[in-house]
Amino acid sequence: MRKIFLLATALQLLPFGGWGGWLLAQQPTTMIMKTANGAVVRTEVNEVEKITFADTLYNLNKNGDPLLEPNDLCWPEDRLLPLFPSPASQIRTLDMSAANLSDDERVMFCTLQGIINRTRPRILLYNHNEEPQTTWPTAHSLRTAAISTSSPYTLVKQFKEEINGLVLYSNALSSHYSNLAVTIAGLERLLPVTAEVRAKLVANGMDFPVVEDLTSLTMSTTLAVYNYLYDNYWSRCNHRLLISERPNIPYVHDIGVACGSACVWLDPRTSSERILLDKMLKDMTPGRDIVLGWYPEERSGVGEATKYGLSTVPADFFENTTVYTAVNKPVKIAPVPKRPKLENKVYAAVYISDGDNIQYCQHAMAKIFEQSGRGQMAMNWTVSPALADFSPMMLNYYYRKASTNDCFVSGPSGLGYAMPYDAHNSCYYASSSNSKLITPYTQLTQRYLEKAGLRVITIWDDISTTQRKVYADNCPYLYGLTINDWERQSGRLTTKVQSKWLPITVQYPCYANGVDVITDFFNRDIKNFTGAEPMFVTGQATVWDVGPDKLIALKDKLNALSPGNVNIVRADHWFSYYNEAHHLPFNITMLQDMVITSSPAKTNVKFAADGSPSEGYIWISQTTDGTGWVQLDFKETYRISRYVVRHAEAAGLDPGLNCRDFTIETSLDGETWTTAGTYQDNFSPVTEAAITPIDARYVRVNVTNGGTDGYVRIGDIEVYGAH
Amino acid sequence: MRKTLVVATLFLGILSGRAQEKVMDIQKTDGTSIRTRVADLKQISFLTVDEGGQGLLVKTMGGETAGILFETNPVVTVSKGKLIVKSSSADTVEFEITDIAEILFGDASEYTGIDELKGFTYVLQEGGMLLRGIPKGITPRVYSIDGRSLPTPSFSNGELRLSRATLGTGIFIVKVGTFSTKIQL
Repeated sequence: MRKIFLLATALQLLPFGGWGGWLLAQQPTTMIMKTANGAVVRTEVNEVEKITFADTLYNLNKNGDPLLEPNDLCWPEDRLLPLFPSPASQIRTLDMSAANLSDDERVMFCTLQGIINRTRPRILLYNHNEEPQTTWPTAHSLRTAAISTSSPYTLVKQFKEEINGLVLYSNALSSHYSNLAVTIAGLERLLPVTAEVRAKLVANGMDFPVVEDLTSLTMSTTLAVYNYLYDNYWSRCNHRLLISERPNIPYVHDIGVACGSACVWLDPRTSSERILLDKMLKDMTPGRDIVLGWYPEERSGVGEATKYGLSTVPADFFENTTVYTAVNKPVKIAPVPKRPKLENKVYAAVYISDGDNIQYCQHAMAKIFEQSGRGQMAMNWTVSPALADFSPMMLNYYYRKASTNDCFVSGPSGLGYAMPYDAHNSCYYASSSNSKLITPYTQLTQRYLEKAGLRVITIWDDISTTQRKVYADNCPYLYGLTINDWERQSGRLTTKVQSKWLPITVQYPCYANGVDVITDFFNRDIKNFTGAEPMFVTGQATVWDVGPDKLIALKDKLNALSPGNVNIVRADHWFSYYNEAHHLPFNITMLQDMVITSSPAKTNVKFAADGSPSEGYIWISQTTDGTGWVQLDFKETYRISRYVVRHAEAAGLDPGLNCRDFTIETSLDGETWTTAGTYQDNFSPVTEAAITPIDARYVRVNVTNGGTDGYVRIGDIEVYGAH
Repeated sequence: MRKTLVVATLFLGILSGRAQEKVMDIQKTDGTSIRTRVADLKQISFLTVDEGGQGLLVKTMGGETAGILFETNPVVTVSKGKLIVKSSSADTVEFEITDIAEILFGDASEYTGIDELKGFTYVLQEGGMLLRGIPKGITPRVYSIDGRSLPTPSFSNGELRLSRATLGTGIFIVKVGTFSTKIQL
């Protein structure tokens, strides 16, 4: 019997999700490039044509730093944003609101920020002032020195030698000249100014030359201005990032300017503007490039980008990207609390909306997260996986403050807002049957879910059968998806399971504006609860109306509906319970009853399977002979079908510290072991495999050759089993 | 529209200094490239299993190719204008970046491997080559390509300096004990 199992396992061990986990597979050589700001760039050698060195003549600033142009930035293919040099030891700050700056002055200052920070982040601007000003600089360990708000132009003066001159524009014919001027400014190292702003510069002793004068142009329509941009500058712009930002609302201008990206505000509801926007979107690469900002109207804008396989990172009021992205640290994912056994109860999960917008994560969420009620009941907070690049320290801030009742999930519909299906207009923006269209998007999403530690995506609104399969095929990191039931469809939507492992459940209600609404919707099911089997309900609250201070009332309201029978749980627990109840595979390392033992270790044994692969939560062997083992006892027999081992590199550590040689073994009794997978010369950050299902109570990771320093490190083990 | 870019460039040029810096371009087969300022580059290493002679090929401006096998776990750093390659089978190989034409990946077994240079530091310089770490008591020999022995160039403190100024241009064979290599000046 045992021999048959071994043979079957060896023959059918397959890579899960298209990467990693090959049994004894030869792996191509990987080049690891480490840069001074802590970034690690992985490149497969067989994808490299050649490496060359060239001389580049740089202008130097007064500190001797070379002034970087957009093309000088190191922008690996697998990053949403370039790798900026580390921020300066002291950052100059200016409170633009307190300085009472006009919109045009703010445009100029945000552009200055992009130009200066491209070389090295040195300017931080306060524009929104919703959260305390110290919140994010402190979270990023930045030392700041404020420019007096009574003399804001001192900031320009301090960096004037890094400016080539001015691009002069006027809003008289169209406000969109501002975006045109900003685009040119990023390419030419210029400051965009109106005559009034220029006069202020002169009054402050800075008479820069006018390099581009747009005031002689006569276009008066939005389309004409952006056609001019497209005809004259688009080919020079960076196409990896398109800034879609309302003119004179300069928040993400800094990153657009730094990257040499185009800045537009086109409305896809107007056919001529949509045609122009489409020309730009066509030049971008799905699965790599993004639109950043917002649109004149949500569904038409997000839907239009989705048509090209592109997502939009909503960021209309997100500020200081060029500073926060430069603090390049791995996300420190918090351990996931273990859950009790499944009971015949009602399991309810409530999601808090709008985390897809990184400006919300930066501003409103920082305040809402401090409200009373948080921590006293399980709440699921949508956040953007894009923060892993835009501001990993922002995610770390929330992970650090989170209680075990706070679970972070991805906002719609993964890496950036995409809308595969628009329930409101009952039409597909993207082709629902074309799996190729969203495949790159879901692959990008998988990478960033893993970077950010997010296991659930809230889809907005729905996805077709074809699209569900694409998510299941490309996002193995997921525990589940939610879709929105706006009650516009014929009949209620129901929870379905894709590919026999991925539950896709319904937010019912979705975007509810009150606790009573959520209670009422949940009660439509709870009133039928008999106690004979578990019941599952899910709903979503709009954060602008229902914060933790109000949401906490749900606990008592649901209890009143069915006293003692309703458990409000984290989303990751909810999907775990759901799969267990439906005999589907779930991560059984989340079970409270699991017992972990190991060979002598420097760290707490629980770190081997705590749901976090991050530094500080890694299991490390005590000895340096390269050997060590971790054993998981699930106390019951499960049918095990998949395992995942995350290594040191998954925590951002040196890839050389990954376990090289190891086996994954299973056992029914803890004495007789069956090898489920053997790995030699591994250097992948994650080992992941679907196996021929096998009954086991125990799983063991046995390492015979650890990291190059002799220690064995295990970031996290996941085992997927079912009853 | 008025364009006065030249004036602007002068404006900036007057206010700040200028410096030439090295950038490294990783050109990929799909036509994309990753540019990194050499000053920002900390280290390049390779994760590999035995790929039967595959390795890093450093081609110099002079037409020489140095091969470093991946299985020797080469670690590349850049310092003071030099590309420094450390591997498990040799001490160090250094190349002047100005002397590197390109770095390729491929079959490195037929080229001079670092293992043959064990104990030496091999520095390609503009206008010549420097061999450091020659053990005491061993006198290096230099031969022309047709095998004629040439006067030993400047040799002191374990360093042999070969320059075009004294040897002229061409291909030469350097022998240090049992080690020999072919160089092009």
